Amino acid sequence: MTDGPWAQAVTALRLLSIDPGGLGGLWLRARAGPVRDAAFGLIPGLLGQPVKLHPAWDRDAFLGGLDLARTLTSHHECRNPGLLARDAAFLMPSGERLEPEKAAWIAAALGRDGAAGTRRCLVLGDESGAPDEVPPVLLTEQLGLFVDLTEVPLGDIDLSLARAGAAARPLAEVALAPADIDEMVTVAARLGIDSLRAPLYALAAARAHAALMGRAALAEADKRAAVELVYTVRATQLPAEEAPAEPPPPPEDRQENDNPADAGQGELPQDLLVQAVALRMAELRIERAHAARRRGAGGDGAGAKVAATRRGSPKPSRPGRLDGRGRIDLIGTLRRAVPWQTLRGAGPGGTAVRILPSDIQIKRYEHHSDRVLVFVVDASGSTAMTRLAEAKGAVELFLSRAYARRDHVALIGFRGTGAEILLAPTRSLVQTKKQLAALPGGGGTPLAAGLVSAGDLARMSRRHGLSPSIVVMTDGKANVALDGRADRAAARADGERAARAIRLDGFDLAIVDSGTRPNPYLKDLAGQIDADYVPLPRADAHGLSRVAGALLDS
Amino acid sequence: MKAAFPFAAIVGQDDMKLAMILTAIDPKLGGVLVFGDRGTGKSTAVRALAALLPPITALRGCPVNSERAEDVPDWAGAVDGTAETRPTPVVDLPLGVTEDRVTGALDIERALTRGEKAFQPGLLAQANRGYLYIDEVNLLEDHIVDLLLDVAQSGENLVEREGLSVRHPARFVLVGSGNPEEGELRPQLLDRFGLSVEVRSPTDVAQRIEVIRRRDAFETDAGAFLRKWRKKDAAIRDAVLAARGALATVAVRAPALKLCAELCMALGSDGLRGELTLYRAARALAAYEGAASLKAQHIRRVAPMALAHRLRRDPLDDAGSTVRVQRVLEEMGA
Repeated sequence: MTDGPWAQAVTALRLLSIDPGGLGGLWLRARAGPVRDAAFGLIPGLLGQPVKLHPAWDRDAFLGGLDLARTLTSHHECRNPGLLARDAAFLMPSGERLEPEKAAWIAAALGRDGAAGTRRCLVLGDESGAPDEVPPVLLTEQLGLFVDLTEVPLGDIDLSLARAGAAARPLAEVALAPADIDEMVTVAARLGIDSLRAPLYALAAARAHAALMGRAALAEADKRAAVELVYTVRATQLPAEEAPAEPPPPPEDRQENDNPADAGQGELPQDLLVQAVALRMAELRIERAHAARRRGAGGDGAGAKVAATRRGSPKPSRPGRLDGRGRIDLIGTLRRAVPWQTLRGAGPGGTAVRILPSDIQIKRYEHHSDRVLVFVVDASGSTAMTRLAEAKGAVELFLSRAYARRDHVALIGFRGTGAEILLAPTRSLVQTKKQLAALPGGGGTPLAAGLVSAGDLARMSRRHGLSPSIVVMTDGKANVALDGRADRAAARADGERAARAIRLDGFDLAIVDSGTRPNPYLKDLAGQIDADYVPLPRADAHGLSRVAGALLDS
Repeated sequence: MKAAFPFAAIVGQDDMKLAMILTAIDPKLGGVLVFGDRGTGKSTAVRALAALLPPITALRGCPVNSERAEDVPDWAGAVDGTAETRPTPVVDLPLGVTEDRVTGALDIERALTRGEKAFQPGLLAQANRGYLYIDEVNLLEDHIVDLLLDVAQSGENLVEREGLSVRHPARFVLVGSGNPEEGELRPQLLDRFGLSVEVRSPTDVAQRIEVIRRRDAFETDAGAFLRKWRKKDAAIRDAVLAARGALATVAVRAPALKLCAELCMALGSDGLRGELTLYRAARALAAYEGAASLKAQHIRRVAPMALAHRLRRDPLDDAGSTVRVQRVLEEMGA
């Protein structure tokens, strides 16, 4: 048995066919293309004809509603049960575009019966490459398996793998030993996986794998396949002693993983499982730094996701009055009026539809006023720590007041030779607190890099439907140019260009001068590009938060 | 319908279990909010509670589970006078639910076929005298939240439609669960929950192993597992019933009330709702433990869950609200 991602994907689908209810589903990361199509092509054979879902479909499609056409012809109330009521495998190709709300509907449908007997499961395609665009965690949490096909070349596709036949042994005949449970839970704990669903999925996957192989008890290979499929994407840490670990052994070594010689190296079987996951993580370039941050976040930028899908997406219409402000949803209004026509005395042969004020449906779009405030903080030099701490305080203060306004906050720090996004746009105070627990400081002042980074983030946020504003807090002693050289003149010129670019894109910008004495360079800069200039010598969290509020409300 | 996991078999999560038991003893406490990590058994606990609760007596055919004939709404049609016991209603409020489904609406079937105006009760009617459970409560649409707030406050659901004006009692215990990382909850809704508990995954590996072992035993043979835990579940149910009876007899003396007030003042919690909830929760705990009078220890035990979500958030204080409540408790030497 080969060990590549393609084989893993095939295994995952076969496991899913053995125990759909126990595993919940497969999160399949792959770009649109022949490899993904080939993987999707296996689904009908293994899981039955899947019910396709699309992120853009509306409530009625997912959850059902009144079937107007049938209701009118039959003169009885006919309801369309909605796709999620089906007992079948679901396929959602572009999960990264799924809104959290719809994700919650699907998650609820998957979790409804949970146990044996159901054929419900979900294959969630995910075309995202960037870590800021992932399917909502509340759904991926309920999908036991994860495979990444992003790097798979077309040549690796081997359709014969899927024809290997059904499970060699019924699932019910595979018994779990108490030691298996202990091992899976311990491995999960060592990988920093908090959720208790993960070990359940790993056990289910291992059992299904044993059934597939015709074993009555779990073998090392079953557990290994299971942890690779279940824990890799969930792991948030590697145990310290193995982190810098051995270089990945050549693939030949890994193929015979139930080889007793492998286990006989004086290591606990647990260690082998942890290592297996570590290898997978290395292959997927899930770096430890990234994993560590994810541990803090736990939500993979869920806050930003909420925002990303807000704008432009029409919400279900609501009853409303004709006050000249809302737009009528004509179809919705008719749909609402039609069932009552008999009641209102419109004869069966009558052509007029009687519409009462209570039928009026007003179109709704999610508010366009979702704003994101990008704090750009100078983390250089000796005062970096205080400034960062105050900026952090300001971010948190701002968020605590922002719940009603639904504003998002992001934080960028610049120091040394570059800038770093310390906090991606989020609305969650909890997430913010976790991510900003420790911030790095010190080094040169690459103001330009900070501004460029802020501009990029602002543009990205705008694409996601947010309205960004930027607050820069610095003492203005820019001394590192964009290319990383320590050249004061070039640094200033770059800074001006970057600031101008931000203003040209139409973003509001406030420059908070945190130096003990106002810095003329910053004041000039602000004047030239028509940005707000606020000297705040003892920049404290409250002051900064006020400036930000004023900027947004201007 | 799958049998629910036994309440007594839930490992750890003592605060969550206690909060749920307290609302079962005194429904006027006003609901529980369970916020925390994914996969910590929040939903499991709610379903388990539903299975644990003692049944209620209601008139046969009454859509709002009325116990007495005068409480039956006039639109309910034929309700015969015989009483029947039914399980305590625990109604799921799914996300994506329509307003009509929540409040109830005109019966389309009867409007179509017979041209009659008739009211078809919604989830709020079903939940009367029981529990209304909202998973992922922070993702609930705002207009549904507003509607729930209105009804939860007045205890009555009012529907006006097609010239039909319908009202019915809707008194229920709101149970919400969610993950704070999906977004914060509006303060108005937060305040509406009597108790709030934070749940975390157990950090102890042995405890985690026990969770998974029990879960596996349950999935392998639910019948045997339920039999094994039936006695312990029954013991909790009996204790809840006994506590309900004892609630009125728990002696409340001035020092205990003074402690409640002092605690709330020291914490600066808004409004009197906090004090009232603290008092009620502590009294329910005293009744549950079979104590003759309300003692400081009862207040201490429930103070974090009754008050933590009512504090004005101080974002610059890194400690969680629960820790702040405990800190004040220690300072007061209570």
